[in-house]
Amino acid sequence: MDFIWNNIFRKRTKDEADIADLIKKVPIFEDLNRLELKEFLRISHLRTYKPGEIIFYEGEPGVGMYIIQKGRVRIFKEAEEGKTTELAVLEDGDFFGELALLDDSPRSACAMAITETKVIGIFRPDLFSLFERKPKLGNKVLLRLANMIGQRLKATNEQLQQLTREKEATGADR
Amino acid sequence: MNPAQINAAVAGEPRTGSKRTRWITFSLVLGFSLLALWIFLTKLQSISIPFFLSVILSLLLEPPVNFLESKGLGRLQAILIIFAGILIVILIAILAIWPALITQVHAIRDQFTVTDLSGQIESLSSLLEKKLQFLGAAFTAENINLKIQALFTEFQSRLLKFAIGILSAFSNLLIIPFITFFLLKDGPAFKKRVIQAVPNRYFEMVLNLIYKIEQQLGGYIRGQLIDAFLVGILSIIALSILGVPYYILIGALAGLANLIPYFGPVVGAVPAIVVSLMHNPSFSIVLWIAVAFAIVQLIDNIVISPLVVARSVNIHPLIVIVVVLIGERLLGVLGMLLAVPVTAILNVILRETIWSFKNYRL
Repeated sequence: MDFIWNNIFRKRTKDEADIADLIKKVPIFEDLNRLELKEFLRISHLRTYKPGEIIFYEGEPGVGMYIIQKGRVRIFKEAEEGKTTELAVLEDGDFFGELALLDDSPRSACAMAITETKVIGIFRPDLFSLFERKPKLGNKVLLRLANMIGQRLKATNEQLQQLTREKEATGADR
Repeated sequence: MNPAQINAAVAGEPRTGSKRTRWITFSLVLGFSLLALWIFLTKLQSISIPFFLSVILSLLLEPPVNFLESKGLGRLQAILIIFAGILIVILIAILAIWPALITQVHAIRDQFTVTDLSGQIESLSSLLEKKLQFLGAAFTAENINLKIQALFTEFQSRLLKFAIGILSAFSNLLIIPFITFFLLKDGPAFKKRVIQAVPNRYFEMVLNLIYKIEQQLGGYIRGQLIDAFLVGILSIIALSILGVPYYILIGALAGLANLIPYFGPVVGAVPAIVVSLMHNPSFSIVLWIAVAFAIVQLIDNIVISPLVVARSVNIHPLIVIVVVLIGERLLGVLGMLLAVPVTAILNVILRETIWSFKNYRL
């Protein structure tokens, strides 16, 4: 019986409060209120990776995103002959794999724990089920995600224009 | 970490164990899980059947609960409202249909008293002898009578076995609402606990696997039950038009039997034919009932099934027939009903596991 009552009148532990704070720091989730964050706590998975342990490989189907609670993660691409190209090293509070929240297209890079790393995983199936049950929350998150992708597209376009201009200038000089 | 260590990890040799060890571990875990499922389903039937039925019921109730939750209600409130709704529907059904159903059951029981039955069989035998005269001496009224008597004895013993099975299952049925309630309320938390125990390397794969199984199986079971309900309604309408006695009971049975692929429509038609022959021994009524059931099946196959039954769980017809027969051997009629959903689960697990092995680097 204790289990049932504990379950009903359970208060948020310090760990849960920390995780909720961490989730709120991610731009996609920054509009969420306390109750909505509580829903996210229910669907978030806590995982611990040893140093050198792969979180996911490039080319594997993407299932969701990770937020680093504690530790360091190396993001890299596989090059030919077993060589790798490092893209970034992420630390506490950083997040990665967020595009996998939209579809299961293959991961564009590998992620590997450098030190012992604790991550919070939020996954597409749970997220979609949550959106079905809480459409308002879904709207907030999807709008943020769309906004973020829009900004990235804008930045990519600007980089492309810059490169085109540079290429044209180089051609004109010759 | 130095680049050599990164390369070693990327090459599939992280510090948590070799690729071969992981393959062996995964195969063993999968094998033991399937063995445990098999033992649970066959040896612990008093627990596994209510549990399995609760899983089916929770999959069926998940969408309406989610719908109410999306309208701003809490999960608990939504579940309680759905349960209250079901209770009201059951009460209304009991008040409205039960008296008619009981009258029909009593009437059938009276119809099948031994003396009446012998008389009915004799008249049926004479009719068959008259109609099948061209087949010669083997088809005498006496021979046919003996065959039919043997058939009825077999039918009665099977019916008795089925009734005992249903009665013992009924006592277990009382725990179904409780299991269903907790599956709906705490299902995601249970799932999270299970996933927590999965090693990091298989974690994303298992998460994906569970989601796909839930999706496909939920759609399939909901589709099958809606299909059975609609076939039941159509059968009741058809049988009432033909003036078959006890059409509500027989039509409902036909709907339920429709859950058993291939065998179901035949199982559904037999009681209608038998009861009609008892009332009016003529071949035309048999023909009309067969035509009516054929039309219902045609509507089911062309209109209802493609619309409501999820096509994602495609199992070869031969496999369906074999598993239904195995189900009958293991659990009788209940086994026939559960054979396809269980096969569907195994089919999805197998298909998705193969897909995962192809797409994940294990």
